[in-house]
Amino acid sequence: MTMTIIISSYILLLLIAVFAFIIPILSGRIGVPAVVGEILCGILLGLLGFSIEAEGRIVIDFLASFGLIFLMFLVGLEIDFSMVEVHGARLFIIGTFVFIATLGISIFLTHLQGYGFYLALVLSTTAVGLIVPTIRELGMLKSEFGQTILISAFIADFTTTLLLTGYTIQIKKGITEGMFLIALVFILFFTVYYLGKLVIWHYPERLSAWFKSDQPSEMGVRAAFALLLVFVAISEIADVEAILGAFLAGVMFSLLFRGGTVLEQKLFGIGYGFLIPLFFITVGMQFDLGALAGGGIYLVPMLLVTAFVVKLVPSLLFIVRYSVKDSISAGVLLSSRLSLIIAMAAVGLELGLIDATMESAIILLAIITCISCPTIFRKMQNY
Amino acid sequence: MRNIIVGGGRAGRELAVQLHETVIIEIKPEKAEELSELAGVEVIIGDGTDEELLMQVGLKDAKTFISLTNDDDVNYRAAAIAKKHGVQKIIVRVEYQENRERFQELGIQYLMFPTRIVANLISDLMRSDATANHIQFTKILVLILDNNAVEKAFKEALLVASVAKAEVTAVSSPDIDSQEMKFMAMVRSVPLKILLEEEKLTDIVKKHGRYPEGVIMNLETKGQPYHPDCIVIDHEELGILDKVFKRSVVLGLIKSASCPVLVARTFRYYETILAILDSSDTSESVGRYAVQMAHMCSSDLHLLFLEEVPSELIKSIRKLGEEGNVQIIEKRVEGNPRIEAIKEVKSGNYELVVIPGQGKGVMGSDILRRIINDAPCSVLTAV
Repeated sequence: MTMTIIISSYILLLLIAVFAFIIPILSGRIGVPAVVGEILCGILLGLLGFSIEAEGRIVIDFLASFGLIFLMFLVGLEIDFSMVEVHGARLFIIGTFVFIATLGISIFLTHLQGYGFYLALVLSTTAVGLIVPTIRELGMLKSEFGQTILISAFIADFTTTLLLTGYTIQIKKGITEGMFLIALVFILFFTVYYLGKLVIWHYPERLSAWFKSDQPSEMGVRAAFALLLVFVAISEIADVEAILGAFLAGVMFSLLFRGGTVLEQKLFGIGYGFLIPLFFITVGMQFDLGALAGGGIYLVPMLLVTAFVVKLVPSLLFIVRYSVKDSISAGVLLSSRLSLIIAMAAVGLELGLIDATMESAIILLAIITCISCPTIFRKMQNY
Repeated sequence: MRNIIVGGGRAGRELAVQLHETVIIEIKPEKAEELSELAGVEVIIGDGTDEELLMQVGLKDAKTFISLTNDDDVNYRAAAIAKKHGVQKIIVRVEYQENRERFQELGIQYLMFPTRIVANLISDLMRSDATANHIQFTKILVLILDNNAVEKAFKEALLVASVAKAEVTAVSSPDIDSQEMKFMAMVRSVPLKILLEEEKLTDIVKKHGRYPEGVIMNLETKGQPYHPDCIVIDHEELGILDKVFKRSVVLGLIKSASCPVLVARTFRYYETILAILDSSDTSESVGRYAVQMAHMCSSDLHLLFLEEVPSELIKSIRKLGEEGNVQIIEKRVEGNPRIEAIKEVKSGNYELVVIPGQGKGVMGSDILRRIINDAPCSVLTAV
């Protein structure tokens, strides 16, 4: 066992910042996505025995969780709805069919293995937060193929988050209240959307300045943070997953202010430059090898096979638009799991829907897929 | 109520013959003598900038005041007196383009630039054989939804038809005053065909949810299908519910039409035209229609680029502009493209805005819908 080194939060932040700076350079040379490099680096830091003192831990944990929220916000922001208008609803329809097939196969396979609906739901997730940085890094965000993967990932994560929220609220508070709370978040979404459209039409002069580069008090950045936190706070109050709120805030921003603007660049800078690498490194650091030794390891092969089958088989539907190689590579990328599956495992454990062994196996599944899938995808796309 | 013409040159003489109840003020006695031979025309020898004289000939009760001398200063002073005494309609000949602003500041609605019009006509004749990419505007279809539209959409269609030398086909329900329409078309020397539908057009459109192809297709009874080059329709006032449920006759028409649709709101010649271009493939068409319209109306054309567009596109629009003797002013957006587009449309500097018919670029269909429904000027949607 390595000795635990207790350091203050600033020293750890410095370490993380230095690694966040070096990783993209190294991972670019090795040929793995920066995100994978960040997680591996986190695991390494954890193995070396870096730990944070109690007070500092709160700071880092908070920054990391805010990193996840900001990541989901940027994921929503990256969805280009003009793609839907250009290609009609086709991309959404393909994505929906792929997800329905995934959920169906997942329910069937987990049932065969004697598990319930919750595990099926957990395995139907993907990692839109990992997929976006990966296809962004490969410069595929603007392509139709990139958007198809993105929209399929978005549908999978959005629907599972919604089903998870519905399922857990229904267990905790009953079905009526659960539906009411989710409906509340959506009503808020559409209200803000319509109000936003009205404001844009009636006060374009005022809003115009927010998006210019020479804005001294950065009103646009402030407004974006306020919008994000309104949704996150409302989600917290309504007991809906905060990442759903953050994601909706991002979608809202994309719907209202679409276009490659200076403000978007600033938000990407804050997210991908600081908060998001912090989140991924922390995910790596929190990985607990001990839990796997406790028996979870034998579950991993079974989970791994199921996790790949439920994504690869439905991805064959992409053949209607793309080549076999592209379709399979899309399936591989969609097989990656990360934050959402870890969060869902934690929620499932808390509600007694899965046990601790299963949780640790799910975490290892996330680690393996989040490292291997983007790398395989990258190789298949010849980068 | 009579028409007062200042300046008895060839144009004044020609006009006096066409109009009823006209008085011409001519400063040269020999010219005045020639004019007095015209039947039904009263000729006064005197200075058109003499306020007392103008009052004597009944300036206060004049229907229209037309100043046609070849001296911009004389025309300016005469128009200023007419404006001072509240004449409703003032039409002025302007020799030098640089004087345009002076007249506009005076609040003169109708400015004529004979030199430019002649130059355009000649260049039209020169190009008429060779230009394959020249846009045709020879068949204009007007949909008369109610009597109100005769005043508005029909009037604007006639304005466009008169400069485009086009024939107008009006479709309407039988309760319309077709005599008035025929008279209006005759005054502008525009060939007119009126087709009556048994049902009200608004009802037909509402029933089908869009403008049925059949109504347009069945227009020509001799077995030849009728394909208009442009459809003109009155703008509509939408209630909140109509907006929410997207129940709009105009939007339904734009969606189903295979030619440009002009939503009439200006009812006068277009002095300044705005074309909004983004990276969508409709932008080329937007540019071409805008240049053609600016050429026909001798207007200035402002191009607003919301995104980076291929340099070939800009070059081809500039070339068309040069060929058509159109002054083009290019603007590039700094900040958020959608907000900047709205700001420009609402600035009140334009009589016509040319936009893509479908939101496939950064504009998005919701912003396009808003511009079509609520812009303060006429809107031409390109296909």
